[in-house]
Formats: sequence, C-alpha cells, structure tokens
Amino acid sequence: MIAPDDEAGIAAAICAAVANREPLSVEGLGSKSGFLRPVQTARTLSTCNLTGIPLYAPQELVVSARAGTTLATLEATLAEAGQHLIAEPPDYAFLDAPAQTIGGIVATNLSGPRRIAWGAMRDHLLGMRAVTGRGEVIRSGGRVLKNVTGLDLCKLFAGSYGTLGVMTEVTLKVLPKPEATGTVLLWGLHPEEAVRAMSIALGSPYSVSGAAYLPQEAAMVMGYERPSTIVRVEDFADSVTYRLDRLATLLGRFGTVEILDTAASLSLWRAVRDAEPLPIQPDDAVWRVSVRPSCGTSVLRAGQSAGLFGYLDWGGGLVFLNGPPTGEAHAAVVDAARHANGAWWLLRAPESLRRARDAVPHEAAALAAIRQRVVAAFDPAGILNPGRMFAA
Amino acid sequence: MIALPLPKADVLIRRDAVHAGLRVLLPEGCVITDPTRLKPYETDGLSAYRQMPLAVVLPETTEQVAAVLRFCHENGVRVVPRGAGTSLSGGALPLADAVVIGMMRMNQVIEVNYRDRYAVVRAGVTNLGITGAVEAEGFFYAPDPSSQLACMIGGNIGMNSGGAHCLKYGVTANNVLGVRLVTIEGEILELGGTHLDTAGYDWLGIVIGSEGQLGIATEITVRILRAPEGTRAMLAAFEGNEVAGACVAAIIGSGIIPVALEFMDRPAIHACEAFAHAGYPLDAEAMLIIEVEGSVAEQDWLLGQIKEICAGFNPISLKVSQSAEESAAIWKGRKGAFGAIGRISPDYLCMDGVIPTSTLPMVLRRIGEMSVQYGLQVANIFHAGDGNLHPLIMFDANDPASMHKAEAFGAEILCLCVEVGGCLTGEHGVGVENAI
Amino acid sequence: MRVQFTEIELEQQRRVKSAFDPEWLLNTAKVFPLQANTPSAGPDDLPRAA
Ligand SMILES: Cc1cc2nc3c(=O)[nH]c(=O)nc-3n(C[C@H](O)[C@H](O)[C@H](O)COP(=O)(O)OP(=O)(O)OC[C@H]3O[C@@H](n4cnc5c(N)ncnc54)[C@H](O)[C@@H]3O)c2cc1C
Repeated sequence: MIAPDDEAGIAAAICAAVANREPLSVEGLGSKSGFLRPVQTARTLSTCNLTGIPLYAPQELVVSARAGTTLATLEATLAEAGQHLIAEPPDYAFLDAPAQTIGGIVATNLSGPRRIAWGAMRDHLLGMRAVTGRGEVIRSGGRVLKNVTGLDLCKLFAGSYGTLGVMTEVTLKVLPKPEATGTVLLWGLHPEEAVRAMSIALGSPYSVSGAAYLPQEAAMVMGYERPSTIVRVEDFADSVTYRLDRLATLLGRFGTVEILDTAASLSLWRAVRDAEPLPIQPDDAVWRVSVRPSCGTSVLRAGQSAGLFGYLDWGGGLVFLNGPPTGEAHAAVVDAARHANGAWWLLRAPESLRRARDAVPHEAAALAAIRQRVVAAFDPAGILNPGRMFAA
Repeated sequence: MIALPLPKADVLIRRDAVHAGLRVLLPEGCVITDPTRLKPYETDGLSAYRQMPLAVVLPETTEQVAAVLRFCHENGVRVVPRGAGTSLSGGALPLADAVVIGMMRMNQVIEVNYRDRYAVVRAGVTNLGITGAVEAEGFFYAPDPSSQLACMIGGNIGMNSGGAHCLKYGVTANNVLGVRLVTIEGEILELGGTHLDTAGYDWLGIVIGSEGQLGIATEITVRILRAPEGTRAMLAAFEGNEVAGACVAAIIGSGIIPVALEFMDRPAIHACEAFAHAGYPLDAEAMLIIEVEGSVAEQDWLLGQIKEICAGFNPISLKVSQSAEESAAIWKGRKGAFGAIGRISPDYLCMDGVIPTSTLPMVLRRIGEMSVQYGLQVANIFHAGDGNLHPLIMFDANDPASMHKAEAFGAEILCLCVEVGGCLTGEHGVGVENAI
Repeated sequence: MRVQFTEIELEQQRRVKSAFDPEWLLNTAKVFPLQANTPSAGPDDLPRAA
C-alpha cells in the first residue's frame, strides 16, 4: 500500500505505475472497497494521508478538504460553525471500515435522504484537484457557487469510483444546520399507499426534506410494530411546528398521524440514511436502486418475491435491498430496475457474484464507445481501478 | 479581440451540394439558405459580432437532428447548435462554413408528471414555457435566468444557466434528470432518465454547460417543484459597497438562506429605477434585494430577522414589499437591468465573473478605479448569494477605440476575478468571448 | 481560458471534447482557445474503436 502525504506523492506513484504498467487499486480508507466489481492489483494507492481543511469560509458557504480527511473530522469542523454537508452523506452500517474519507464519498456520489430536496454530493462539488491516470495534476471548478468555465470535470469525477483520476482535494458547498427537525409518521400503509402519501407531501409547499417507507421487516428492525411512512421537515423551529401541522392535516386521510420531535427525528433519519433498517446477514448482498418514485414499489415487491428485504427512501425513488447473494436475486433486482428505466448498483456482495455480474447497468453501444474514449482520455494505460465499474 | 477559425475552403466550395443534401433530409421550409432570411441568425446576445452561416436548418424531430448531424459529419461540415440566440458570450455565433441548427421548432411539452415531479420537454421550449405548463397545478421549474421569456431549455443546457433564485434552488445542472443527446455521428443517446441518481459516469454533468461542444440536446427531462406558499421581497439601501457586502456575509452567517439575494451599485440602481419605477432608493450607493418564502407568518419572521441584521449596518432605508405588485416591480427592475442599461448606452458589454463574496468590496473598488482609467462607465449587478458578478461596461460601438477599450477593461475584470479566487464565467458560458 | 487553466488542464478538457467529437465539428471556435481549437489529441492518444 502506497499512502503519500501530499499530491506530488500521489502523482509520483501514478507515474511509476504507468511506467511499470502496474495497475493500482485506489482507495481512501477502504470502507467501500467491496462496492461494485472487484479490482485485482498488486498495489493499492491510498489518499488516507492527505488530510486537512485548507479553506473554510462559513459566510461564503464553502469548505475545501483534502481527500483523505475523514467524514467525521469534516463534519465536526462544520458543526463548530453550525453548518453541515447538504447531501447528508450516509455512513452505511455495512461498510468494511470504521471511517470514511470525504474523497471516497465524493467518488461514489453517495447521498442521504435530503438528496430528494437539496441535491446529491455531485451537486455540491464546487471544485476539485485530482491526479489523472496520466500522472498529471488538474483542477476543475473552483470555490465559488457558480461556475461554467470549460467542461465540468468535477461532475465526471463525482461517482467515477476512482477510475479517471485520484481526487486530492474537494471543495464543497455547505449550508447552515437547521434549527429544528420534525417528522410526520403514518402507520401500517401498503407500499403503494405510502408512495402516494409521500408524493402528496413532496408535492406540497411545505419543503419536505425526507420521505421514506419502512415495510414490516424494516420497521421491526427499527423497533416499530407496523410498516411506517415517515416525512421530514427541517428549518427554524416555528416553521417546523407550522409545517408539521399542515402536513398532518394533509396526510390525515391515510390514518392516524404521529409527530416526532427533533431528537427522535434525528436518530430515525440517521438510521434511514445509513441503511440500518436492512436486516443484513454477514454474507448478504446489498443493492441500491434509483427509479422514479412511483416505480419504487414494483422494485421493492420484485425484491421481496426473490426473498430479499428492503425499504424505500426519496419518496419511493431510492430502494435499498438486501439478501442472499444469488444470481437469481441479482437478476430479479436488475430486471425490476430495468423495467422501471432506473439505475442500480451492486453495493456489497461476495467476490464471486461481483466478478460474475455487472455491478451497474451497462450502456447502449454508442454510449459505451464514448465512455471508453473518455476513460482513456484520463487513464490511457488503464492503471486506475481497472474493471471497478465495468468489466474490461 | 475574439478570434474565429478560417473557414474550410473545401466546404465553402461545396455550398450548393451541402444545401441540396440538407433539403433531402428535412421537410420543406426547414432549410434556410437565402441571405435575407439568414440575416436574423448572424449574431446572438453578443451582438457586437456577426457572421453569416452557410445555412440554417430548423429540424422538427430528434430523428431529423440525427440525420443532419450524420450528414454534416460525413461531409466534414461544422455545425453550430442554436436555441433562442440569447447567449451573451457568442456561444451561438455562426461560422461562415457552418450549418446552424436552430431548435425553435422543437417547442413541445411532451409529458408532465406531477406525482413523480418531472416534465419532459423538447429543446426549443422556452425556460418560462416550462413553468407556464405546470403553474396551474402550483408547480414551477426553478432556474430563472433574466432572459427566461426567450431563452430555451436547450440553450440553458448549453450554458448551465442560473438565475436569481439559484442560491436556494441551484442551476440547470441541479434541476435536470435526463437528456436525449444526438452525437455528431448521428447517434441518439439517452442520458439519465426520470430518476434522481444515475449509475456509471455522470454524463448529464459533463453535457450540461458544455456549450454545444459534445452533442445536441433534443429532449430534456427536468425536475418540477411545488411552489412555496408565498414569497416576499425587501430592499435594503446602504451608504457604501463595503457595508452592503458585510451585510450579505452577516445574513448568510446567521443561518438564514434567502431564496434570492441581489446586489446593485449606484449606476445600476439609477438605470433600473428609470426603467421600472420600482421605488429603488436613489440616494444609496448600494442596494440589496432580499427575497424570502413560506407562509405569511414565516415570511414575517424571516424578514424580521433580516431587518434586524441589516440594522447593524447603518442602512439608509429598509423597505419590505407590501403586496405582490410591489414585489413584481422590485423584480422587474432587477430582471430588466440589461435592458435598462441599454437605454442609457446602446452598447454595453455584460461581463459574467464569479468572485468569493468576501472579496466584493475590494473587487468593486478596483473596478471603479479601472472605470476612471479607461474612461468608461460601468454598472455592477451581483448575485450576492453565490458570488456571480455582472459588470456592465458601457461604450460606443461606432468608435473602434471605445470598443477596444471596453474589451480590454472587461478582460482586466475577468483576470481580477480569477486572481481573487473566482472564475471567468458563472452562467453565461465561455463562448467565443472568453475562449482566449 | 488561459488565465484560469494550465495547458495540461486545457488539454485534458480537449481530450474529453475529442472523445465525443473527434473531428471537432461541433461549435468549433467556442470555449477553447483558437490556437488549440483542433483535435489535438492524436489518434495514438485514443483507444482504438472496440
Ligand atoms: C437580457 C439577457 C439576460 C440574461 N440573463 C441571464 C441570467 O440571468 N442567467 C443566465 O444564466 N444567463 C442569462 N443570459 C444568457 C442567456 O440567456 C443564457 O445563456 C441562455 O441559457 C441561452 O439560451 P438560448 O436558448 O438563447 O441559447 P443560445 O444562445 O442559442 O445558445 C447558447 C449555447 O448553447 C448551445 N445550444 C443551444 N441549444 C442547444 C441544444 N439544444 N443542444 C446543445 N447545445 C445547445 C449553443 O451552441 C450555445 O453555445 C441572459 C441573456 C440576455 C440577453
């Protein structure tokens, strides 16, 4: 494992790898090394020693962190000024390491429940520094909220799983933490009713910032007795009180409404964010599916028919599923996602399944050809995380 | 000065063959080659530059766009995608040897889905047209460039356009779910869809803001949002740019994120007031337009907090709009700013730099010094919430020396933006203007 | 563009442009500095079509 403590060291390691034609696994702290397809390399290049926060300007809503800075460190720094990461990045219960780096979060573009209202990690990535597979340092974007100077390479790097270059520093937009959080809870709905209720809430003028549905098994993991539909608002305290009241009225026709206060809401939504409602066994596979909200139920049901457990976030638009890592289960998830014209990720599975199957949807031929050229434009020697996203 | 490439001689020679080839591909009336009818397409929002194209085509379907691109690709002919032509950086400026592909006939709204909160529209639908299609149900499309009455969603994709409300709602890239993109080879790609996160590489992210460099967007799926219960604007007038800038920082630092936060300097205030009669404070050096949203009680509370913060910066006046009409007038002044400047000086350069908000007072002081040095007037409009600065440099296009000075002045401003940690363009794009 | 980007950064953006539009027919002369407004990434720089 090579873990340089500066950008020049990362560049030198990549140049050496190119010269020796020796591919590298790229990681931060390795918490998500089990995501997508397995990478087989003799050496690993880690950003974990690139730490520090070179810029934080709370009054401009912007922070820059070196890629290896842990999520916990970054969040603690922001919290001192009463701010937070807008996309609410998850700290999944099934990660392979106790800590995550901010570089890894951006590289996998993982966002939490707030994504439905406030955007994904990729939406808040204002700028970055990276070393490409050519060993060259590039910058894209900047520290300002708006920027369309040239092609937006930041977006291409967000979610690229370290296959284009190694990000060494990221600059993110941040926002003030809301003063209060509240939740409207409905008991016992069927998935279709739940999605309808969430759709009404998200289509209301009350700035809903989270909408999730926990079917029976997921609810039980959380200590509830019945399926739970939950809708969140976050803002100044008086606003939260007012909007919870309006939402309770609006959703009253779906049954008895319960209201959760800030403390109860914070812990519940943290669990939803971190996929805690999944009853995961050690060898289970985990899938994440993004569809339009009204299709979430069909993906959930298809998973359940294949013996999987799951729950819905993003008003139905994000489905988490877990269960035995069989080819049949995988095919059921993929078919359902494809049927709904959605996207899916095989987030965790034993190597055998990850090696044998696609981990993300494959593209149409014309797009795949462009993709190969774009990847080669950054990493012509195929040195960085080869095969991580698509089989070679 | 901008520079354009030499036209390809071999293409110019084949002009008639290219025209004939295009006519085969498109219905009658969709290929324009007659010089008088080409004239309206010779420039865009950067009207100091003009160039007649080889031809203009106005396709009606994605398949026709694909056929034209395939033909141009096979024949080595350059193409210039065009929406409404409001680009302020020359992004849609034709080339002598290029076919302009105008998207205005692809102006249909295909599908609106309120349950899943998206709309599918063709590239030639105007920005305001999307909101127009969904507002009866209480929804809207968030990015709102001042040119929204004319500019098209395809052009917004090209320029990743923003607007006064992007502090809260983001720019085009944050509000688009899917794009049907036709490549130069005539392949039709489906990027994204109707879902939020896409798997694999973020093709939407690289295509949006690519200024027509990567392909032509023909169909776009956008997020639509439920409008808030209400909105209200207030005006805060200050004695200097410094205090106004400090007040912006204090508002954001307090944890309040207004939906819009706009700054105008004295010349901009005067020009806009003469045009919109919005009650702007003519005795102020700097003015902020601050807008909040929510129920009436929520608006009252937020504006109360903001007023309290402003009071700490010795304001000349604080005025909260009392009615929808008053709020509309306030925005009419701001959104009409470019036109208002146009009434004072027929020719002006609209710059589009971005700067860290904290550097605003310093940047404005430097721009003021440059204005004296170049002998040209300048008005400044600033999206204070996100650092996007629009200095409008007034000059006389009939005087080559004046135009030259204006360009040098503009270039110096942009260098200053980069120097203080900002960038060349916030929302208008690089185009030809900033390519150098 | 040259004020904001290094030659390496511009070249990287140009390669992405070339991946979509190898002959640089789309909106030529916009965005990138003219001297460099050509498919600078040579054929050996691109992977062969699969
Ligand atoms: C008075 C005025 C006010 C403005 N205010 C704002 C503002 O507040 N915020 C802001 O961001 N901008 C603003 N602009 C700039 C301009 O309106 C935007 O850039 C707008 O998005 C351009 O849209 P258009 O349809 O006119 O596109 P055009 O000018 O025709 O084209 C813009 C670019 O996109 C490309 N393009 C066009 N259509 C397509 C397509 N279908 N597929 C691929 N590429 C395409 C073109 O080649 C060109 O590079 C303003 C302009 C004016 C004149």
